[in-house]
Amino acid sequence: MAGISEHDYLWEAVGEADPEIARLEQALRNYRFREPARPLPALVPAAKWQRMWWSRAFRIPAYAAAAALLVFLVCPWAVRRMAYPGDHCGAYCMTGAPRVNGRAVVTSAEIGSGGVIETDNASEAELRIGWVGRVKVLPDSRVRVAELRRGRYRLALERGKISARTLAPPFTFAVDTPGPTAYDVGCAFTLETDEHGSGLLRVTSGWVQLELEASEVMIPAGAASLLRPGATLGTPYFEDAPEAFRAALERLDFGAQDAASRDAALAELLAAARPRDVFSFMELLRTARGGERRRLVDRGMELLPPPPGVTRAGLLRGDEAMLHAWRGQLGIPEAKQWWLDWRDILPQ
Amino acid sequence: MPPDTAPPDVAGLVLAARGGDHAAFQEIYRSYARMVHGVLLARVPYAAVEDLMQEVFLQAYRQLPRLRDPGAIGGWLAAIARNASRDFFRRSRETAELSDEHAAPGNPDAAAEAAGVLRLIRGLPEAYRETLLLRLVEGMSGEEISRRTGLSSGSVRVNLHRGMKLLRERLEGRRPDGGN
Repeated sequence: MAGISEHDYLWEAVGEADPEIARLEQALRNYRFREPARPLPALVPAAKWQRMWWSRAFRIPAYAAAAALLVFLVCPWAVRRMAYPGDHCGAYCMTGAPRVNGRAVVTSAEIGSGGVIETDNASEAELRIGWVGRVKVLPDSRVRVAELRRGRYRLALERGKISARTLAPPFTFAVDTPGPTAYDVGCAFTLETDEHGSGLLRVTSGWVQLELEASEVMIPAGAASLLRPGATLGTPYFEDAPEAFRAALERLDFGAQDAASRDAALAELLAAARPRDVFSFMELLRTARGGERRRLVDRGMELLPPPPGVTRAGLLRGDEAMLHAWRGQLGIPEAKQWWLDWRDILPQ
Repeated sequence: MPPDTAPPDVAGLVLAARGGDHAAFQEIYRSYARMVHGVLLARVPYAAVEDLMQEVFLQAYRQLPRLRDPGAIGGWLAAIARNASRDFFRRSRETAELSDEHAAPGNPDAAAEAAGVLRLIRGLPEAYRETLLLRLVEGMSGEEISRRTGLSSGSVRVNLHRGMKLLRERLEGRRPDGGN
């Protein structure tokens, strides 16, 4: 009987009370809600616009308007993009009188595989390559369309300067120079060279990979790499590096290679470096000789302490995982981040 | 035992309050205040409950236009109260803990006893302590708890009985003779 009584009283809250429950109710009675000593403060009604916003009568037209705005913004862009399917390239005159296959372009011209576009010192053109992106051909330049088919887009910069902004998947767009080839890894960059292969690659967004014979180097946004005739790639460096650092790096890469000259250049480089320039040390480690490796690692660890688990010995033997972890300390994005770099697709 | 003050047409009251009818909102307040009080008491010190109630109802009033199903206001208010409790602890992480013993009125021995029981209930699993406080402190019946919080009758019944069983065990364990 006791069980039934307890059961009923606990649920019903009326009738014959279970003694223990009644004792608990009695003990806790002081915590019970009482009409508040103070009334609810003056209620501020929801703003009229707020009420309207959530009302169905307002919400549906609002969604429709948002959709219409999206279509209005996206359509012209999409139509323009689709005007040049993957295997087409249009050359547009920006200023002056650029020439496509020897003929002056007044407004625009189609340019196919093998076609050449040239600008003089007073003209500038833009290549719109399918949906891949746009390449500005700056004055005094000569560019050949080396390959143009879906999934592979390749220009050859024979001389002069180009500025590229691309939407292509990594490694589908490339630019040959008399020296190395630049592979787009989703980015914006400028590339200049003379007929002999002296020039400069500057990356302003994302990454570019430079390849020359069996060597390759990745260059992130904010960094640059010198191009020089010969079989050597320039070690990438951040463009805001001190002048003394950049000069020493150029001497190490392309200057006299006898031991004394390299030793002096390395000493200057190590002295002028900032923590961020350890990025260049990491690249130099790939080709550094004997004692140079120790000096680069020791100074690098001083400037940019590696994370736990990365050891001097590991860095000296070129352990890729440790180098990768050390590079992580620089905070360089691993790959292009579209949610940050979306402005790259907009014309400049 | 306080009467079950269920409003006959809660959806109508919500719609009227949404339109700016203060009297309708006061009616909602009268109907759900005990439930909100119990939900808060299950989580925060007694001394903070009254202030938090004000916050909960003000917030509810301002957000009424966002309540999709006016009939579900009970569950919605309970959810706001649970969130307000979490915010309270986020805000007061650095401050000293308020004591329920000194906060509750009454003679010191009774107050200490009450605070002890409240502590035991708060130590129960979350599903039980809210239901049990609505029953033992606010005096609501199982049916009323179900209507006010939007929980099913079955859930409330299970929570009440399992919670009470656990509470009895803990009360037994607290007695000087260990319950023997």
